[in-house]
Amino acid sequence: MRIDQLQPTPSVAEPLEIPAELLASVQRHQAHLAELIVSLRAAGLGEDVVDASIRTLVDSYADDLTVAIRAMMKAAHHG
Amino acid sequence: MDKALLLDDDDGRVAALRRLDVLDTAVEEPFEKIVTLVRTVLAVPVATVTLVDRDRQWFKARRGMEQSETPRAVSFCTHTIQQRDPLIIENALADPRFAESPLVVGPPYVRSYAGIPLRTPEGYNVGALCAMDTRPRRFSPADIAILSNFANIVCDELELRLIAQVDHLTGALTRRGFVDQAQREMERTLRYGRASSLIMIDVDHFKRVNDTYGHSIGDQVLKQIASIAETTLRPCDLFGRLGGEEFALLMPETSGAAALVVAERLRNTIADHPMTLHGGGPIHVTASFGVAELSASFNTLTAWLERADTMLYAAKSGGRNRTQLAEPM
Repeated sequence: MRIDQLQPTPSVAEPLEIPAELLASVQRHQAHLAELIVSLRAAGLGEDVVDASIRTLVDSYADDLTVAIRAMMKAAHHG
Repeated sequence: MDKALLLDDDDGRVAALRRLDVLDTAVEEPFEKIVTLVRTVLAVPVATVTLVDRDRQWFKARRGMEQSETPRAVSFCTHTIQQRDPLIIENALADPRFAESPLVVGPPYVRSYAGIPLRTPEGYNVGALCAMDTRPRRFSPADIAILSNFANIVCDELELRLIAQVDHLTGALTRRGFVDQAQREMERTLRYGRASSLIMIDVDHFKRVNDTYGHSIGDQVLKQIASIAETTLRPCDLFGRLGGEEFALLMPETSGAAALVVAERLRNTIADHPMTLHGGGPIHVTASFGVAELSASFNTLTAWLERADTMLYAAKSGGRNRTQLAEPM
């Protein structure tokens, strides 16, 4: 799985492969985002608010994931 | 361990919190965005990501709360972490636990509170994601569900940092990440009888930078210093942020004398480089450096770090903006 394959798709994302060590954590995050979408809709929030909220979170997470993966790639050199 | 016992195991809980390496860290955008969203979506004036340390609560992110930390004794969240379920307080003035809290009788004048425990993978509650209002309020099941979902997102972000061991402000390794990798390098170096050197770096008068220009500027300075350091790195070098304004650079296959040259080059580059800042004019900072080559007499990584740190202290004492190299041992 790559960063640009996260759902929803991040606004800007490098096609970096997600390392095995992060995969479970990333998949949990994806599930949590899906649950948040359901909760926001169930609370009657407009689709634009839901979209904007989720976009904020997924873009932020994609940035963090990129930093983390690059650091892990470098750390693998020292493994 | 039994889940109920975890709630009573405060020593274990604090240890789990310390392992996250998040206390007293810089403002980070993901957490700021989450509290901003909580405020907007739940229409509350105050939202925080709170971490409950042994004797204090510290806010990793906060909106509507002026204090960056408070004593644990006055904290709502210290009660939240004592349970698995959310803590809901509809009217703080009617609850004897909180009616006379400084956070209720004084700013931000909390009247209602909803807190979701932040749980580590081991099961410890290290803090809470909180929404607070300045009027009595009933939080609906929909509000609680949304806040719980946001709390899961906070935990995801904390977990990402823990696994990746990266300082998200500077891109350097966290202290824990650096120590883990430095330990392996040290063992490898000693096993094969190679040379390796450690450089400790500390920004001079950094408190003054924060006090004069604000923490946002201070963070930009740290990012630029880290960026300068990283331009000199080889792929085999390790670069970590050990504390607020303290960094470490481990250089395998490098003698103390060679590391001294690198340190001096870095020192001069930092001193000569005006820090270009968003929201402010350029400022100049300097840094002090302590260098120590690995010696077989160092039994532990801690001993090696301490040797380099002693040299750093000598550089500071000697007037700052200088480098001190340890004598071979």
